[in-house]
Amino acid sequence: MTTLQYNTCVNDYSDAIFRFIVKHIRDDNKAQDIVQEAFTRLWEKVSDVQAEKAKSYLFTTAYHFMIDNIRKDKKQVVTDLTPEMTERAHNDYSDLNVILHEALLKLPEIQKTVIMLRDYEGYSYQEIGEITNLNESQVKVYIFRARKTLRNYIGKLENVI
Amino acid sequence: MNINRNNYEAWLLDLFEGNLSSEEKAAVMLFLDNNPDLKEDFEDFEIHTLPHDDVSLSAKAKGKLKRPYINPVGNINSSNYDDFFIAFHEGTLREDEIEMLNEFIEENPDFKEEFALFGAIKLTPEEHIKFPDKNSLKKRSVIPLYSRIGVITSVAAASIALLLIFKPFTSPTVTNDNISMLQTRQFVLQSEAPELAMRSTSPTILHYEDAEPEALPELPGSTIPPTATHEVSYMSKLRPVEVNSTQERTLIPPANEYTQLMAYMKMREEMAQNGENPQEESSRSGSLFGKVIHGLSQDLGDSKKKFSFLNVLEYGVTQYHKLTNNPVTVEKEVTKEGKTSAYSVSTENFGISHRKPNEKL
Repeated sequence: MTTLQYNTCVNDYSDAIFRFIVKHIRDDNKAQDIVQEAFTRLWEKVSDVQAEKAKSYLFTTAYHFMIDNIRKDKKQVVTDLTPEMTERAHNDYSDLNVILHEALLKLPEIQKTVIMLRDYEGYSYQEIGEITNLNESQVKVYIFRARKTLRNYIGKLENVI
Repeated sequence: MNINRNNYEAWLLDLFEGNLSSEEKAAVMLFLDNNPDLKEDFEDFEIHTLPHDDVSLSAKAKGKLKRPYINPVGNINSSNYDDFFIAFHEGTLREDEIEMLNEFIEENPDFKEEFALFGAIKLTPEEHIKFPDKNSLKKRSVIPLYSRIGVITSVAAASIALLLIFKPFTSPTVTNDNISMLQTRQFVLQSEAPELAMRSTSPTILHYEDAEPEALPELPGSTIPPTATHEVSYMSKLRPVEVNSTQERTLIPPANEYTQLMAYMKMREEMAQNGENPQEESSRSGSLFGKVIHGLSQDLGDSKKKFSFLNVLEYGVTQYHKLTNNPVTVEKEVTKEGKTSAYSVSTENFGISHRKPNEKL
């Protein structure tokens, strides 16, 4: 990969990776650090990583940095234990996307990861598995669980705009 | 039957609710007679019952509790229909499963809304969340330092090589009179060229017969002696290429960007003539070319040793090729007498040539 291609990666992927990380750790500064680390790692391997693989490399690296970060903090535990999540109180009508992002924050980390990679980035089950070190069927299960949880959170369709 | 002050209330309750036999009733009454202070409680005892309330769940609330009756279709039933809905929107259902699902929705129209809701559960990126400082991640698009030095050095080396050759030619000019039918040899550096050993104090010099007479037609003006030999240390990396000797060729005029280098070399010559040490001046002056030449001579071997045209040319051509992967063509023009009359070094990006003045073909 050339310097030009590397810089194109910065333009094309830094926002998406930042968004992906900040949705997990909800700390802008740490998310920025992780993005920085991921790009630094890519630059170190710039001659080894092909341009077409750069996005996947960045997401994988950023994801692992993030997991390390979470473990270090010990504030959050990466599990699939679904927290208490009941249908939201619909006092008024809300935009579906707002409700979905509200619900997303309540998902277990791993479900959040796979659903974001799926919906935001359009990755296949296999690609998500490569990034998260899961097999394809595990990815599938987590995505299904996440969708069911989100659906339950939304409640009735007439409650959303 | 043991009625005492600790349990008499239970007996009284049973008495009022009619749960006692006549024997038990008599026993309770006897206990009250023996305990006149409790008889007052007995007389006040009254059964209070809660009034029936009309409060009930609304139809809406009851509706929420109800589960719709589901007509199963194929494998789709009440326990897995949502998996099929998700799988449909994930695009992972087979054709036959999609048909089955459509049939299921037709059979259970109440699920149309549910099906649509699963379709709507797709996160879209929040575009307003952006990485704040992209420029901090970017790298300057420059040739790495070693390459930049290498490019400068190689180009300089190619130029120096020519200048060394041109040294006896005091006033280089290219005129129309000089353009003629040339007998040339091209040496094209191949991709598989091995790297030169750098800083070798005794570079291997091979002797190579640069012409293969039988490969070249004997044409008018073609007088390259078949036995002519040249010191070509990069022999193993150069491949003689036959060119059309009948083609009229114009030597490439010197490129403007080398004018400065030539001027520098001229200055060095003058310094040498004046008894000054140009090598020291080069390194001391800190000028780009000075540094390049100083570094080049060190790379080629002993810095005090005067480097020859061949090893300088070898160094320059190889470095240039290594960094750009562009072929480098070295052409030599010879006179009928077999004397060298002109040289040309060219690449895709630049070319330098020089003709010995008044040298006629």
